[in-house]
Amino acid sequence: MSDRAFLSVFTPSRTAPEDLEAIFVQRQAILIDAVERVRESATSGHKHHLLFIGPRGTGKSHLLTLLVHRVGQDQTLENTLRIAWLNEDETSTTLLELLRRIFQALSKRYSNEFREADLEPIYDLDADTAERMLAQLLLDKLAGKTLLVALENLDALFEGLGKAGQQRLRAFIQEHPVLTIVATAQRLVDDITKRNSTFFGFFQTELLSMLSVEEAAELLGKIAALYRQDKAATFLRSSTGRSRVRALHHLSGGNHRIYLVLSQFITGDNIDSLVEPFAKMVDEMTPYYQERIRWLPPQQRKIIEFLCSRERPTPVKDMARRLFASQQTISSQLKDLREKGYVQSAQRGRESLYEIAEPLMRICVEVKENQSPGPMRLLVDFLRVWYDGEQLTNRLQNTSDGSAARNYLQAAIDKNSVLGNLRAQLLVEDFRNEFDDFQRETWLPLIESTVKLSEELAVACGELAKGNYKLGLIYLADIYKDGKNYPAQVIVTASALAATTYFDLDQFESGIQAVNTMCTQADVSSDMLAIVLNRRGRTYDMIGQTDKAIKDYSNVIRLTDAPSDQRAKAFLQRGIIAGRLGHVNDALADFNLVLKLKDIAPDLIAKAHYNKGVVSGVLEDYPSAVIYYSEATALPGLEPETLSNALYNRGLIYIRMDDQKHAEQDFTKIISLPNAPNDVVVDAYLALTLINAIKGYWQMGLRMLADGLSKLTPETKPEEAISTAIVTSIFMISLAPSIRKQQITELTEVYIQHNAATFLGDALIKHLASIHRNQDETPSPENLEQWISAWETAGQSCDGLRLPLRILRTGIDFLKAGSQDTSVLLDLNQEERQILVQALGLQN
Amino acid sequence: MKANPGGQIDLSEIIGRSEIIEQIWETLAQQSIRLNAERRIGKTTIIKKLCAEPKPGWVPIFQDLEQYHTAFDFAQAVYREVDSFLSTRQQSARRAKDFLKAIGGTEIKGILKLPTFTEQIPWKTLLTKSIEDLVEAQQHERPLLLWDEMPLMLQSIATREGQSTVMEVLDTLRALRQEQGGQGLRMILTGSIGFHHVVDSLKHHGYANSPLNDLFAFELPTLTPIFARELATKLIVGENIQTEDMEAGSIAIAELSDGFPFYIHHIVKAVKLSGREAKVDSINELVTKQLVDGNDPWELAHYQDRIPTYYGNNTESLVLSLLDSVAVRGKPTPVNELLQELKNMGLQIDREQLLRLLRAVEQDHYLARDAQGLYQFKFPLLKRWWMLSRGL
Repeated sequence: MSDRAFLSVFTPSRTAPEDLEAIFVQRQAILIDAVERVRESATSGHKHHLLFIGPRGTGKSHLLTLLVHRVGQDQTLENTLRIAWLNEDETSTTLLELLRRIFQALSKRYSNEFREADLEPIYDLDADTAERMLAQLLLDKLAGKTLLVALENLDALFEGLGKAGQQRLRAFIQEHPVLTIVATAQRLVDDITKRNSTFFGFFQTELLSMLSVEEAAELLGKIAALYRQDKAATFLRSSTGRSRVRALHHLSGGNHRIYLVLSQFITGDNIDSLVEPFAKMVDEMTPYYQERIRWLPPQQRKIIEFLCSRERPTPVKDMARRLFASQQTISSQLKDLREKGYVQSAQRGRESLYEIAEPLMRICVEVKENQSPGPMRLLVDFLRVWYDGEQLTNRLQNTSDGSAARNYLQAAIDKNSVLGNLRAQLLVEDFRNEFDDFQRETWLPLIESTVKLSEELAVACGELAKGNYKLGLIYLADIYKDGKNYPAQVIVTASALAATTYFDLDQFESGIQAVNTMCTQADVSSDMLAIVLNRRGRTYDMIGQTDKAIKDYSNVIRLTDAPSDQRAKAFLQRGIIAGRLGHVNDALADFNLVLKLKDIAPDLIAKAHYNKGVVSGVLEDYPSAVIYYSEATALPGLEPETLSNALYNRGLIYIRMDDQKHAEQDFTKIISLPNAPNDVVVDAYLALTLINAIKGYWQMGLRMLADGLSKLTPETKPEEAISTAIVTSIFMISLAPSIRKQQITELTEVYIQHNAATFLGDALIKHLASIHRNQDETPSPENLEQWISAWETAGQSCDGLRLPLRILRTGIDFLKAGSQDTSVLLDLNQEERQILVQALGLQN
Repeated sequence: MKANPGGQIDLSEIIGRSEIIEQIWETLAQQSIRLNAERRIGKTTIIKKLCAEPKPGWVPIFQDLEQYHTAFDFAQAVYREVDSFLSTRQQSARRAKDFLKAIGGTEIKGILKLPTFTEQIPWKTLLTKSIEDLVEAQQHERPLLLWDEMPLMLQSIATREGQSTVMEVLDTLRALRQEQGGQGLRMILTGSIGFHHVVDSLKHHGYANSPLNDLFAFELPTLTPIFARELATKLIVGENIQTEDMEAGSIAIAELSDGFPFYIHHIVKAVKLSGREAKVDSINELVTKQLVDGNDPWELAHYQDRIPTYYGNNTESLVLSLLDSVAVRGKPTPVNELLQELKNMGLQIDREQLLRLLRAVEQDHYLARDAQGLYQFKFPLLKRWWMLSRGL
């Protein structure tokens, strides 16, 4: 196709800049930033020097080419900037040679201003004089303009210049601040990084990262769009395309150049179009990698050659064994190799696995070592990743004998038959490397099992594991909404995963729809059905659709072959709803049925007992409640939350039974429990405050209160009833006005000290309401007046108590006036009045 | 103005140095100066500002000496600079030129081709005559030589030609200052390596003179908090970085950088690249990341690595223990407490030795003494890094 854009794999400067712009990914922000800095250098006395570091094939030249292009196109810089873009392949060993290269690069671009002929007289001079003359010539020609020097392989330039040359260059830059340098290098060398090096701290250094899977997909997509390959572009966006790109990512190591080569094939779908450029790339790179390996000491060279021959990351002990060396020796050499950028490591459990950092190095060594040039392993692996077994066979049948394509296809089929599905293995491997420990533990087993069913499903799981819910859900929807292309088991799993994820994200409607989709499938396993129905039931319950919730729970209960735990949860939830609706017997029946199930977790049994306790408490059958709570707390291996709630509820029942001793024991135990939920611990302290107040140990009570309130966090919501009970106890017990006043002052101080005045204010209003409700025993007006004045005195300095005290004052005045004259309430503004009206239940 | 760590700064936009520059000019009226500062604290920027915007009556000449490795290289460079300076004023380095012609130099199209010497090079005469030419040509103005990275050049000369040549260079320069000082000649010598290391090394070789004691020792401080904040603010604005609270952000950067302009530029650039807002939390996080980064992007490990070179291998453990002891204390420490602690560690040192050592680490910017004579780290940033890196 003649109108197809040309993308040079090795020399981006030969590609049209517009095409380079079109396929530019990952580094937009870096490029914009660099252009801004060059612009500032050209238009002010600031001179920026930028250095981009990255191994071969990582898009450094692409970035530099675009930078030069953008700056060169900028008309506003025409009179202030000149660009010398140095030829990558030339070397300089002196400042003189570098200056000449710069001049020549300028004369290529601005032939009228910088004439090659001007250099002639300089060639007749000795080096020292020539250097000064040339420097002067350059400065004269620039005539105050800024000079952008764009150069590649700064590391090689510095090596060539040596220390003395670097010092001359630095002095030149210091003495004539007209230069702004934008350079690239393959690695950070000591010439730049060491504090005593000449160029330490001189460059703004940016380490360029490899492509992530998403960026690689974007690159391939952009190339497809540039070639107008709509079909390929659509395919790359699909979940199947993504799974291919992800597996490919593991082979390519995120190297831009490899993707560029592979893109020729992906967009053309022609194996021959792949083999030739790939072989060319390997040919061009091999001398470079051979050279890099030759630089190494023998022991390290052996390690690199060994790792190049391995298919997968290798543990230290295997290397030590094969290389007849101790593990310590290998480890220390590996450390050095890692610092030099030759190898990279990943942790598996306690073991460190090592592999070659640049996949191209492995390929090149492999090619060099192959006596008979067979198919290149990476290309064979690429075909195994890109095609299914069936596609490989079909293609083989349509390929002529003896062609390179045929050899590769045959090699891929042979390798698949021995080693199995490479794509699935690579997907798992890639996620293993990418995950942290928690993600690995939680998700990897699921991915390992789903990848055998569907790679797309595995990729979706991977995204969910990483917290990319939106993307994961899109992939899942691709699977379960397009039911035809996947087996039922895959659709069921995808919709179940989508449903639970939606529920986790509180997107109830989408979750419910996903469950609906799942339920349309035949052969849904009871295990999975029970899980999602329970989740949907909980959702229905939360959004007030109780009937539907009960129906879902009942359906789970009917699934007799579902896991007992799921059925137990359904019984519990259905029982709780029944209890809430006042159907006490139904509730108890459900909780009892939990106890009849076999092989369920102790926590679920405890919850059944616990809920029976709750029902008995509501029925004021305190002795039974105590028994049920005791059954719950006696079980071993409970979740701290379940145990502490059961103890707390039993403690409250004991208080109602006037058994302060046992109540105190329960609350004290909660405080000593490791990992008990914070709000239950705070409530336990408040309950102990109450018990001590009741027993007359006021100071001890205050200490408990201070301890409890000191544990408050912004998320903690202490139970209102306890604070109200504490306030009530002061009202009931301390009738002597001075003692009561004293206690009110002390209590208020503790609440204020711990920023908990709001809770006290609420309790005061609640208590006021309880006095109002109990009309038979309305306290005397004097008593009420003493009560409110004591609180007003105690809380006068606290902003948080101002509003509750105002409401309390009006409420008390209302009670003193006989609780009939609502005009008293007009002392409050409308909003405040509303709070009081609601608290006293005066709406009707 | 964008963050530009390591690059060259527009001299019209230098922040917070006017007062120091004024002090330098005042000092120069009386005597020459040696300007000591850690690399990247901004000394080159300051002397370039002196060069670009001289006070009336002064003619400054700037040279970066790091590139010269022999006494002759140096003398020749001075000659060329003087000659090209004078030729712009239609004058010429007459004495030096005559001298060179006398010993066989030729002139091609106005550029003097120097003779090739086979025997000892008469660099001293060339240097002296060049400077005499310079001084003589200034009838109503005073020449000011701004020589950057002098100790690096002296170290190179020591390596190539031996310590005795270094002594001669220093003696020649001192003699020139004494002889020509009355006619108005001044020098500013700067270096990131302390001049005391050069002189100490000479003393080991039996050199008894004090070749630098006629120079005013000027210590270049970091930016004061107000100016550090101003610079941070200017860079945040220049980089278009979002911030809800500019004041808090710039205060955080000023504090965390210890007022080192280089680190202020670095931090702002890091914030820019992170794409985050200039909030105190994110700034803190980015700085910590730099300090604990295994690649040591700010090369702070140099402060530890150079210890054996500066103080000798035998003293290394003593210096490390001393700095550790100061680092772990939350407040400034008296000498006696340090002495006791070092002895408790089983290190052999007496009070006099400790005082000498303290003076040396003070000169190398590790520690500083307060008004009560108590010691603490000079730069909190260095202390923070020291504690992180030494696991204290």
